[in-house]
Parts: sequence; C-alpha cells; structure tokens
Amino acid sequence: MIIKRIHIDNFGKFSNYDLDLDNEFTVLYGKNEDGKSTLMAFIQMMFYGYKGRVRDISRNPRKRYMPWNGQEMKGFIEFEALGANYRLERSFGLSNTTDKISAWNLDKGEQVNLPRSKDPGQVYFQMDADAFDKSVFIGQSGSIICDEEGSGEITNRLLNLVTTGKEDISHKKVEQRLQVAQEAMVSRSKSKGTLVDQRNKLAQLQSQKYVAEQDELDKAAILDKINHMAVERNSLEQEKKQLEESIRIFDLLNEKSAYEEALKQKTILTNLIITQKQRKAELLREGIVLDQTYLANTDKLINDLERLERSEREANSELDNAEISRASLLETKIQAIPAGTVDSLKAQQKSSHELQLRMNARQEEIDRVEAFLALEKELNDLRSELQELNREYGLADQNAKAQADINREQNGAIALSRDLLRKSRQHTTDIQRDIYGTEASLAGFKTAKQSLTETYEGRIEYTREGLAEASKPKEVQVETVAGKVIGAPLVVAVLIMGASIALGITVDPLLYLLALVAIIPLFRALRPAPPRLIRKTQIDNQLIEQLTEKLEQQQDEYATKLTQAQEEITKSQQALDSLKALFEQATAKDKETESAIELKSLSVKAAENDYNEQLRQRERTATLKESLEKQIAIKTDKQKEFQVLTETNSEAPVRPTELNETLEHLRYEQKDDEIAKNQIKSTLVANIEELGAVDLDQLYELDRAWHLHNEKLKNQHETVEKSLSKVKQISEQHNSVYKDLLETVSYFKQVSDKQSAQDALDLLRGLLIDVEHSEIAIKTYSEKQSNLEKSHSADELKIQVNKLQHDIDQLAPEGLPQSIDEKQLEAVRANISVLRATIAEQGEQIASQEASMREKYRQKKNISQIENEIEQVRAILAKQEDDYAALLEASKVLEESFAELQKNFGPLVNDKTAEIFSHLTDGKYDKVKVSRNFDIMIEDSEDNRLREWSFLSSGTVDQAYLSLRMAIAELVTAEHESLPLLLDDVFSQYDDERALHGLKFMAQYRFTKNPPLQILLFTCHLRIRHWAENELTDVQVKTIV
Amino acid sequence: MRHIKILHCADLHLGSELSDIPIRAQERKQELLRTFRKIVTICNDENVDLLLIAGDLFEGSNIDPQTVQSVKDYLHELDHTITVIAPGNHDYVSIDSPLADDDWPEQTIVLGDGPQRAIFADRGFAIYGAGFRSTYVDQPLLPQLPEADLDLINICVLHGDLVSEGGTSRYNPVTERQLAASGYDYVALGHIHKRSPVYKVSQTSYAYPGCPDGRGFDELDEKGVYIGTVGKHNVDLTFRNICSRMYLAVEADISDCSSEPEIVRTIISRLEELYGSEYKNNYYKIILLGSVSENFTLPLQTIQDNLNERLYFAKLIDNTRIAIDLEEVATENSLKGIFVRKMMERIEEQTANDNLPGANQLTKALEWGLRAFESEVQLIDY
Repeated sequence: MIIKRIHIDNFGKFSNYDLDLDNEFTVLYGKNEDGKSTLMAFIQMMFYGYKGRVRDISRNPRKRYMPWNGQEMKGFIEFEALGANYRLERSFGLSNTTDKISAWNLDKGEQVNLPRSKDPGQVYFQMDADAFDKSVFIGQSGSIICDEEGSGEITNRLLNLVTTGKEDISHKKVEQRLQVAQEAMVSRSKSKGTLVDQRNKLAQLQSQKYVAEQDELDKAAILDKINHMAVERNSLEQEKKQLEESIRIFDLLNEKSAYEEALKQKTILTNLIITQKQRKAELLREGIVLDQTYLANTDKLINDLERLERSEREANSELDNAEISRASLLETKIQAIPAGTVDSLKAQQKSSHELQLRMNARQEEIDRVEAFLALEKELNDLRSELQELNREYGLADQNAKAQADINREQNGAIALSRDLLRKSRQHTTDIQRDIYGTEASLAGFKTAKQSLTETYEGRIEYTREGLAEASKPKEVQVETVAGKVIGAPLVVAVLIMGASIALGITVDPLLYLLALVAIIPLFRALRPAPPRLIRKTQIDNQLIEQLTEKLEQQQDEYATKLTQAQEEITKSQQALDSLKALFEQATAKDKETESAIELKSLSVKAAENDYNEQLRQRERTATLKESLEKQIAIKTDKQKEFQVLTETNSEAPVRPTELNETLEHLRYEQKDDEIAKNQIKSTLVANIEELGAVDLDQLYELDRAWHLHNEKLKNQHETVEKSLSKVKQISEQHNSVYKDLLETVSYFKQVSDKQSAQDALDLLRGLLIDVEHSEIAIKTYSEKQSNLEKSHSADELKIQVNKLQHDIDQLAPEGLPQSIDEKQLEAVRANISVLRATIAEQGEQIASQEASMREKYRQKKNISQIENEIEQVRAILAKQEDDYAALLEASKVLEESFAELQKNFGPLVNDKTAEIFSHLTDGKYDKVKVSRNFDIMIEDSEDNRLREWSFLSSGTVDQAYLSLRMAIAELVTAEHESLPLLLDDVFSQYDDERALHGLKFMAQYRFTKNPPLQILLFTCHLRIRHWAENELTDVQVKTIV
Repeated sequence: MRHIKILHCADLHLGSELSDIPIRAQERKQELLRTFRKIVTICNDENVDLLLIAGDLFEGSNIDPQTVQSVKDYLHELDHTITVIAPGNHDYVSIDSPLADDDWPEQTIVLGDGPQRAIFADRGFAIYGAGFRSTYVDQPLLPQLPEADLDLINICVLHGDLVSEGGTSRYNPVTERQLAASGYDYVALGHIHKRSPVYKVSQTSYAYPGCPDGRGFDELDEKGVYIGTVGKHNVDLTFRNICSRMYLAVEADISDCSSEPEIVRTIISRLEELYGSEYKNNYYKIILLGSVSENFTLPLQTIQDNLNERLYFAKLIDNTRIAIDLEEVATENSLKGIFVRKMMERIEEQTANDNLPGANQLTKALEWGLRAFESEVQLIDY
C-alpha cells in the first residue's frame, strides 16, 4: 500500500493543504508547531476515526484538531492498495457513526461500498486501529521509557503487543478475565460461586424432596390411624345407642313419676295460695288492713297507757314527800336580825376606812411639798455660784481677744517685711543676671574684635600679594585672523585644469571633462583659512589698578569696623561696673531687712505664748460653768417633776411662799380627820355588842343563817306546787291514750275497757300468726318447686303425664316389663356414661391428631412443589454447567494458543529483532534473545555476554526498542500487503552517529521488501533533514508548512 | 337435544411463590387470584352450569389461609353454577389440605373420597371424577369410575397425564383407550400447563385448557380456559384468553446499535410492533441477538433498568456475538489469531461429527474468549 496524496480541507491548523507522496523513504521535516503531529493524526483519523468520548481536549483528537478557521473538518487521502488506486474522503462529525465517509476507486471512477461495521483502515490496512497504532505507526521510545512505570514496563507492553495485539492487554489479563468468570461460577475452593450455589440448591431440594416423601408417608399413616379411630368411635356410638334404648321405658316411667309428683306439688301450692287470699280478705276493715303494723300500733298504745299509769303513781308519791318537808321547815325557829342593821354598820365601817385613805394621801402631799422646798434652796445656791463663774469667763475672753488683735497686727508687719525682702532679693538677682549678660557681651565683643582683626588683616595681606604678583610681567597666547587658503590646492587645481585642456586638445575632447576634477582643489583653495594663536610678554595694569583700589577699600573698612568694636567694648565695661556697684548695695540692704524680721518674729512668739495661756484659763472656766449648768438642769428637772405632780391640784405655778401656807393648812386637816376616825370606831363597837355579837364578822354569820332558812322554805312551797301540776298533767295524758286504745281496737272488735281490748288484740295476734304460717308454707313450696313445676302449668303437666303414659303404652302394649331394680338401672347408666366419655375422648384425640398434623406440615412444601423447583433449578444448572464448560474450554484453548505462540512466534521475533538490531548498532549487538517468557536479553558481540536490555544505555535501549517494534510490525503484517511505515521522530534520542546510522539503515531497509516499503519519517530535527539531503541518496525531503 | 354450559379450567396453582419475577412476585400472586375471580364472574355472567377445575387449584397445602378463604368466598358468589374440583398432585386431599376443609360452599363438589359420581337428574347431567389422595397416583383412576348413565350428559373431571398406550406416568396415566371406553361425553383434564386442542375419541371429547395465567417464562403467550356447551356425544368448546398478563420471550437483534439508548429504542419498537399499544403490560424475557463491536461492552444492567422503567417487567439474556471477521482474525499471527484458528478448527470438527451441543458449547467458548480480549466476561444471569 502506498499513500500518494494527502489533501486537508480543514483540520487543526491546516486549511486547503496538499501533500504529494511517492513510494519512497520520505523525510517530512517541520519545526515544532508546524503541524507534524496534526498531519500524523489526520492520516490515522482518516482511516480509523476516533471512537472515544474523552472530554479532555488534549486526549480527544476530534476536539483537539477542530479546524482553526471554524470550517467543517474534512479532507481526503489518495492511495494505492490491493492493486488499485483509491480516494478516501471523510467529513468528521461528532462520532464515527456521524462521520461521512466515501471511498472511490479512481481507476474505475466509481464509488466503493465500504462495510458499515468496519473502519476504512480495517479494509485497506487489514488491521484494526490498535494494531495500526502499534505496528505501522511507530512512535518514539522515549515517551515510553520516560514513563513512570520504567523500562521494565516496556517489556510487558511489547509482550502484550506480540501476544494480544494490544499493548495494554496481556495474555495474563485475558486469562485472568476468563478465570474471574470461572471463579464467579466455581471458586478456587469449590465452595462458592453461582454454579456451586445452584448445585447446592439442587442437592438441598432433593433432600427436601426426600423429606417431603417421608412426610407424605407419615401423613398417610396418621390418616389411616385417624380413620381407624373414627371407626372405633362409631362402634362405641352404636353400643351406647343400644344401651340407651334398653333403659328407655324405665326412663319414661321415671319421667312420668316426676311429672305426677310435680303435678301433686303444684296442686298443694295452688290451694294454699287460695286460702291465704281468703284470710287476707277477712282482715280488711273500712280500708284498714289489720296486719302486724296495726297490731304493733295497738301494742304501743297499751304500752303508753301502762307507762302513764306508772308515772301517775310516782307523781303522787313525790307530792306527798314535798308536803312533809315543807311542814318540817315551818316548825324550825331562827333569831332574826332587824332589817338595815347590818347595812348601817357596814356604812360606818366604810366611812372610817375612807377617812383613813384620805389621811394617807394627804400625808404623801405634805412630804412632797417639804422636799420641793428643800430643792429650791439648793438651786438658788447653785445659781449664785454660776453667776460668779460667768463673770470670770467674760473677763478671760476679753483679755484673750485683745491679745489676739495685737498678735495679728505684729504678724501682718512681719509678712510685709518678708514680702519686701523677697522683692529686694529678686531685684538683686536681676542685677546679678545683668552682670552675667554684660560680661558675656563684653567677651563677645572682644572675640568679634579679634576675629575682625584676623579677617581683615588676612584679606589685606592677600590683596597686597595679588598686587605684588600683578606688578610682575607675564607670557600670554593671542588669537589672530589668517585670511583665505590659496597655496597648494590652487596650484593643483591649475595643474589639473591645464592638463585637461592640453589633453583635450591633444588627445580627445572628452578629456576636457578632467577639468571638473580640478574643482575639488579649487574649492579647497578658495575656502577661508582657520584662526592662529601667537605668544607675547606684558603687565596687567588694569588688574593692578583694580587690586590697589580693593586694598584701599579693605583698609578703610577695617579701620571703621575696628573703631565700632572698640566702642562697644568700652560701653559694655562701663555698664558692668555700674551693675556690680548696684549689686553690692542691694545685698547689704537685704541683710539688714532680714535682721529686723528676725527680731520681730521673736517678740511675736512671746505674745503668742501669752495668748495661749489666756485661752487655756478661759477654757477651764468654761468647763466649771458647764458642770454647774448641768447640776442646775438636773435639779430644775426634779423641781419640774414636782410641779407636774402639783399641777393636778393647781393651775398656777407653785411659789415657795404659797407652798409654806399650803403645808400648814394640810397639817391642820390631818389632825381633824384623826379625831373623826376615832369617834366612828367607838360607835361601831357599841352597836355590835348590842346585837349579841363579838365582832362584825359574827354578826354577818347570824344574818346569813336567817336568810338561808327563809330561802329553803320558799323553795319547798314551789316544789309542792310543781308536784301538784305534774299529777294533773299525767292524768290528762292517761285519759287521752285510753280513749285512743278503745277506738283503735274497736276496728277489730268493740271493747269497753283495757282488759277487753287486750283480749281482742290477743285474738287478732293469733289470726295474724296463722296468716304468716300460711305465707311461709307458700314460700317453701314455691322454692321447692322442681324445674318441671316451674316450666309447666298444671294443665301442661297433666298433658305430659298423659303423653308419657301414651309412650309407655306404645313401648309396652302388652304391659310393663319386669321391673329391674335401681341398682341394675344405675349400672346400665354408668356403662352409658363410660361409653360417652370414651367417645368424647376419642373425638378429642382425632381432633388433636388432625390439628398437630396441620401445624406440623403447615409451612412445608409438598413433593410436587419441590419437583417443580428441582425442574427449574436443573434447567438453569444445565445452562450454567454448559457456560462453565465453555469457559474452561476457552481457558484451555487460550493456553494452547499461547504455547504455540511462544513456540512459533518467539524465535521469529528473536531473529527479526536481532537482524534489525545488528544493522542499527553496526554489528555491536548481533543477538537478541526473547525468552519463552518474553524477557529480552541482548548479547554483546565483544564479550559474548548476555545482558538484560534494561541495563543497557538509553541510546541502546532506544535502538533495541525500534528493532523490536519494526520486527513486530513486520511479523504482525506479514500476511498483509506491504504497508507504509510511519515513523515519528524515532531517532530523536540517538546521538549523531547512531542517528545517521539509523537513517541509512532505514533507507536500505525499505528495499528488503518487494515492492519496497513506503517510509514516512516525521522529524523536527535539522540534522536529520541535513543528512537526508546530503548524506543519503534516494531519500525525499519535504517540509511541512 | 339438551346441552349444558361448562367452563373448564385447571392448574391455577394459587399461592405459588414466583421466583422468575422476584420484584413483582407479590403483585403476581394477587393477579392469579384475580384471574380466578374473573372465571367466577364469567360463570355468573354467562349462566354457566358447571365450573370444572381439573386439579392443582392450589399450589400446595402450605399456602396462606387468606387465599383459600378468598377462593371459598368467590365460589359462594356463584348463583347457578355447580363447581367440581378434582384435587391434583399439588393439592391432593390430605389431612392438611385446604380441599379437606368441611366449609366449602354447598354448590361445590370436592372429589376427595375416591371415585365418585354425582347425578343431577333434574338438570340432565352426571358428574364423575376422582381426586388425588397423594402426590403420586400410579394406578389409572379413569377405569375405576362408575359407568356412564346413558340418559344423562356425562362429564368427567380428572387431573392426569395423557400417555400413549402402554405408557406410564406417576400422575394418573390416562390413555385414549380408557377415554374411549369411559363413554363419557367430555373428560375435563388438568396437569399439562400448555393448552391442547379439544380431541375426540369414540364418543368422548377431552382437552387440557392449560393454566389460565402464566407463572414463569416456561408458561409463555396467551393463557385461559375452555368455555362452551356439552351435549350428548358432542361438545362445542372454544378457548378464551383470560390471563392478566402474558409471559413472553422476545428476540431482539441489536447489531446496528452502538449505544445503550439505541438498544433500548430498538427493543421497545420491536415489542410495540409485536404486541401493539398494550405491549407495556407483559413480562418479557428479551434475548439479545446479533453482533456488537468488540470495543462495545454491553451495559446490560443499565439497559435492563431502563427497560424496567418503561415495561412492567423485563429480563435480558445476552446472546450477542462480537462483530469480527473470524476468518480474517484467524490469519493473524497473534495470540488472538491462533486462539480463533484453534477454536474454529474444533467447532468444525464437532459440526462434522454432528455434535451440535458440543459445537454450540465451543462457539460460546470462542465468544467468551474473544470478549476476554476486550473486557471482563459478563456471565448470563438465568
């Protein structure tokens, strides 16, 4: 296959680009960014498109090579393949399916139908995109060598390429994938996996089925047992039925007797009820029921009547006793005290007592007045003393104030003197400061004068030296004007002019033109000449004059300024002397003032001491005065207390003179009262003795005894009256109750007295007891009623008796059977009861068996259900077994294939790689061993030692890589038509020698194929281009622009 | 001539656990019960004289009591129809069987006590039949049944396995000779889940109606009952589809698809084309066929999930092949080339020996081997 033309409408940076190619070794040179990679990508994309959907632009060529001009991505490639010329056109869409692809057979001029499922590359290169990428398209090894996985990875990648056709998928990977699938079905331990699960499931189901079969047998057995029990139960039921029939007639007779008895009882009860009704009707009078209540009421009336009779007797007895007691009291004699005597004596004793109280009060008042008068006297003494002290205090205070005035005046004078002294001192200090200032000014003036002298003397000296120097003669350069340059140039110009004229005349008129040459020297001759410098000796008078004038000026200025300075010094000195004199005067005055102040201060201190002593005296007087005032206050308070007490008797203030009169008056009254008291006491004693008593207390006792007797007599009269009243009241009540009793009893029977009433009531009581007894009998009969009596009326009972008699007649038309005794009958009944219990027990057993069976098998699947599941599992299992066998077969064949590959392909790779490698290394390494495990070893021809290739230099590794890639490409495409070899700067990592050698090898290598291979080497290295152009023949060089 | 109207159904297997459709199992159980209700409704609406249930009404004795109660309740609703239930190998009469209950409606006859006959002289027919009393019934029941009453229309209900003459079965073997000798006018059979036509031998007609609603992908397409009239020596029965949903196996060629949405579209349009507007309501097992690019790993789970969003139920089986030219690959000097070459040699050898299963297994091995070159091997989830 030969690529003949590449046309790019729009692809990446290319637009309307054409590249024509021949079946040659073509070096396609382009700098970085010229589009080398774009061109290679275009070739690959044209044949294979891009199936990925990677978003990363750098990894997705559809995005990476979007036309820069924004136009549709498209182009075509023309090539020769399979004996014909084709053009493959492609417009790129979003994916391979949306790409528009068309192929044309250019020889026939018709369109070729490409299969939809195949890429054009698969049709024309006869390999898929991966194989193309890794065989026909050989890149730089550097990109792989520099891979982070290291050079060891290259071995693996190449191994993969050889074995699986893809660098990234190894034989081991394929095997592993099959292994993973197998292990998903059957794990290595053979205990897990979908197939194992299914096998286990089948085994479990078969086991379940066995259990289900056993269950079914068990169920059948239990069912038989239950059926057997049911049969037995039926048999017992029959037996029971026969026994029940045999005792049926006896049961009927018994039943009939029961009905007859019930009928009899029912008749008795009915009669009792009728009789009772009649009795009750008789005891009903004028709407009043003569029952127990009625009887209780009449009994109560009789009880009340008897109680009243008892009360009446008791009241009469009480009346008799009261009358006897009253007669006894009337007979007793007691001494009487005249009325009012005791009260009169009591009044006398009371007035004597009141007189004594008044005398006591008066005596207290006399005592208080006497105390007040004594206090008044003490108070007057104290006031006189206080008055004396007040006078003393006033005198001391006056002296102290006068002394204070004097002291204040003297202190004022001292303060004034001190102020004057401070001011005077300030003035002295000012003078001293002026002295310092004047001294400083004087020193400054003196320094200024010294500086002035030095300055001006220096200047004057310098000016004098300048003047002396100016007076000396000096050599100087003078510039002069030189006029026009005429000399030599003019001569030359003339000579040239002359020669041109002469030659024009003699030789050729054209030579007159030489005269033009003369213009140059003539021009030089006629231009102005440059100025000249000349030297001469002279005295600068002007300078002398200037300097002389300056000297004079300086001397005048110096004299003036010196005079001014001296004047200022003199002035300063005078001022200084004056200030010093003033300072001395001021200092003397200050000392004098200080002495005077000191003297005055001593005098003031003595006066202050006196003043302080006077103050202390005044203070002591004040203390005494205060003490006296407190005493006066205390006594005054006591006196006020007295006044307060007396104020109740008199509103006017108490005066001592009045008090003395009062005291006298009180003492008289006291004496009068004493006499009166003694008279009353004598009268009282005489009266008591006259009434026969020793003292007043005994007289009181006699009076109290007389009054008590009178009181008792009065009470006894009242008691007699009350007893009379009570007897009368009871008698009235008795009559009323008696009347009620007779009336009440008359409802039952007419009576005239209490006894006849009681007899009538006893008769009624007897009647009521009969009624009660009948009631109890009815109740007893009612309670004792049998169920038959309760549920049947008498008529019904009669009907039932007749019916039973009829049944009995039916059962025994020929008369009753021979009766069996009760014992035998009971035995039959017991037998029936046992049978009934047995039947019930068997029924329960059957129900229990059925229930337990239902419970036991409730959740269990039956055989058919399990068989269905087994069927399903078997169907899946068969498929899975088939799948598993297929996987095992795939692994087995893969291993066999790999073994064959190792056997056949390995040596071919060895030989081919060794051949190419030997050429590339110029015979240095002529043997490459690719082991059965595809470990690559290289033998050095110099020492015949095998080395693993990854230990060689990087340049050698590159060569080995290229050798191996080319060998593989050759082998992979061995069955195909020769395909172009596209090399992507494969020598970029080589040194110059190796690169040149590699280039030469490629040029030769293409001729090892028939027809020769088309090789396209893309490079960005100038050295490759240079060698291709200069060192090799039969190599085309094209530049990618 | 007098006729009676019958509805013949069998093998409802109510209460089944449905392992094929785990996500829909519960709903499906309810649907099966609703299908039975539909049968009862038809009987009422169309005045059917006899409802014949020829065995396996229930999946087993272990089903939930609510299902049994529902069946009893539905049968109670029948006004005119007499129901005859012949217990089968799944619901044979045993002490724990729901058919052994004593509270079945009065108009329901459960043939649980050996060979039986029930005569309905006033309605002009007699019923014959016998139920299974264990899983296996090795001795044919049909010859044990009472003789036909020549004055009545004789209808027999049996659960049994139709076998050829001299054949055996553990599930009540029935032969044509027995059928012919029975003299019954119609023998309503059950046990086989696939419907048979109505056959006639001598004077006796017989048929299997199949199950009335599928329970898995082994019970495909339309399902239903036989309904029609039976007269003396003649029947007029037609099959009526009453299934709630169909189980369907559909093959879809996805050779031209290169993406998951494209595959889903292809499948949906295929189903629409086959089953019309109601296509969404069925259970589908979709077998993917055709060839796909070796670079395209089928996202089976995604496709299945996507289909299940659009269909009631779908399950995928991947039977696609890798789209490569085996002849061409076989010429490659690579591991893949050698592998293909060797595999093809073996397949040819098996084919030449007429060992089709062997050849198919090797074809599968070749396919999986090739897939392993491209991606992980995806096993089929049956």
